[in-house]
Amino acid sequence: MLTRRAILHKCLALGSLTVASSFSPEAMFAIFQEREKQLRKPTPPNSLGPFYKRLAPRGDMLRAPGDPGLPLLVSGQVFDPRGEVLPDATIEVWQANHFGSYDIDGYRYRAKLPLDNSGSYKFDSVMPGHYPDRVCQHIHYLVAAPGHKTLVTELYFATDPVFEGDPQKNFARDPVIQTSELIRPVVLAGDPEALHAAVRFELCLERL
Amino acid sequence: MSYSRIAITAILLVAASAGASAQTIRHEGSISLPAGVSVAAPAAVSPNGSFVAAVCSDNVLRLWALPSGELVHTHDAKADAFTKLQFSNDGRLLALAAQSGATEVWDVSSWRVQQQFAASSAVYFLAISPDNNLLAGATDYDTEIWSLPTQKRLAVLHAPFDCYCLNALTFSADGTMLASAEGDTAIRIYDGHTGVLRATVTDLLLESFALDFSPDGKSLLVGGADRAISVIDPMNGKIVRALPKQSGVPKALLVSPDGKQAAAMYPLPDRFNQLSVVLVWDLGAQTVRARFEKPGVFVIGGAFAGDRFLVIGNSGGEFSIWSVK
Repeated sequence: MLTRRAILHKCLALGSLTVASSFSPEAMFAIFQEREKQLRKPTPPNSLGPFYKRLAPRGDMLRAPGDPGLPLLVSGQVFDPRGEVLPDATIEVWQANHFGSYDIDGYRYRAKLPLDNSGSYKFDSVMPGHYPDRVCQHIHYLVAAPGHKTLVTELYFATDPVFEGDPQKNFARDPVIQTSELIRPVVLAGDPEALHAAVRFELCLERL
Repeated sequence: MSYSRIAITAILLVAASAGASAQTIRHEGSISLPAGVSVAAPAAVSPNGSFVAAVCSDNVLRLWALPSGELVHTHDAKADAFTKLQFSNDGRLLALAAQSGATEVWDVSSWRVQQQFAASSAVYFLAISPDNNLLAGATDYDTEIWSLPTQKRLAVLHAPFDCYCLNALTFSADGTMLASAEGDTAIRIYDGHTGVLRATVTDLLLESFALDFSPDGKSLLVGGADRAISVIDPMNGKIVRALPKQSGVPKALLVSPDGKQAAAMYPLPDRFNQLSVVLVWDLGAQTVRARFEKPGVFVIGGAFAGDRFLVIGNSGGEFSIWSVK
C-alpha cells in the first residue's frame, strides 16, 4: 500500500503536483503533515437525556456564591473537521449540582454559552455530583452550528473515582460511555486558598 | 411445568395513597422462572392484558397467558440480542426488535413469523397501530413507518438531533396519527400513513417519556420530566389541561379502553429506568383513584382488564400479577 509520503513523491515525479519553488518536497510534506494534524475527528455523540430543558438562559456563570462543590472551569473551542473554528455555534450545557440533582423546576446549572470570534467558550460551575441513576459524573452538551450536524454529547472527568485513575481501561464501567475520548483530564489551578478544577473540552462538529 | 404456573392466590392489600382514598390491590398470581433464571430486558405486557413476554437470562423468550400465568410458548432468543418487545393492542402480534436492526413480527397464536423488517441500526422503540396495519420503529437516527400487510416502508421521520433522542412512540386507535416524544422536548404528531407532520407541541420545556392517545383520538396524554401528565389536543398541538403533578416522572402511560382512566408508571426516585409506582388516574375527576407500590417489586408493564388495571411486577426471578381497583 502506498503511504501518503509515497503518493506525494509520485505526484511530484509525474508532474501532477507542482510545488512553489521556495518549497522542497520535504518542506511541502512537512506542511502537508502539519495540515493533517489540524484535521479533527468529530466529537463522539453521547446520550441526551433525560433532563434537557429548553430555553436555558444565556451566560457562563453556572455557579452561585456559596454553592457547595469543587469549583470547575470548563473551556474549549468549537471546530469543524478541517480545523476551522465555528464562532457561530451555539452550545447548551446542563449538569447535576454537587449533590447529583438536576434542577427540573428552574435553570440552575443550565446555560446557553457565549462564544467569542475564535469559537472559544468557557463556563464556571462546580464538579457535578454522581446522579444516582448514572455511574459517572458528567456534563451534557448540545452543540449546533449552521451547516453542521447537531452534536449531543457529554463531558466526563478523568478524576472520577469510578475510573480508578485509568479511564482508558475503565471507561466502560459506565455503560453510557462508548469511548474514552469524552473523558478529559482535570487539572487543579488557582492559589491554594481557592483551588478550582480546570478542564479543556474541544468540540468538533461534522459537516452536513 | 412446575415453574410456569402457580395457583392464583388472593391476597388483599391496602395501598396507602397520598391524596387518594385507600384502594384495594389484589394479588392475582405469579409467574415463576426456573431456578437461576432472571428476566433480562426487554419484557412486555399486551395492552389488552392477555399475555406477558420476556427475554430471560437463559436466552429463552417466554410467553405467558394472563392472568393464569400459564407458560404458553418458549423460543430461543439470545438475551442481549434484543432491544424491544411490543405487543399489538389485541395481543395477537408480538414484535421483537434486535440489536441488528431486524424486527420480526410474530403471530402469537401460531407462533410464526408473519413479517420481517430491516432498519439501518438497532430499533429502540416500537409501536403497532391498534388496527394491526402499521408498525413504527425508531432507531438512533430516524423512525420508520411500515405497512404490516404489504411490508412496504411508508415513511421515514428524521430525528431532530443526530443522536438517540426519541423517548416514546404511539399510534392513535385508528392509525391515522403517530405521536413521538423527542429529545428536543417537542411532541410531534405525524400522519400515521404518510409521515407528514401534522402538529408539533412546543409548550413543554422538558423532555417527555410517555404517550398514549385516548380511544377516540381526540386527546393525547403526555407524561414527562416536568412530573405532570398533560392532555393535548392532537389536532392543533395545544395543551388542554394538565393533571396534578406528582413527585415522580411518568415513564409509561396507558389509557383505558373506555377513555375514563389512565395508568401512569413512575420510576424509583434514584433509579430512572426502574418503574416502581403505578397510579391509576380518573381522567374526569383528575384525581388518583389507585396507587400500586410494593417495595422490591419493579413494574415491567401493565394492562387494563375491564375496570381493573393489571400490574406486572418483577422482583428478579419472579413476576407478580396484581390488579388495582
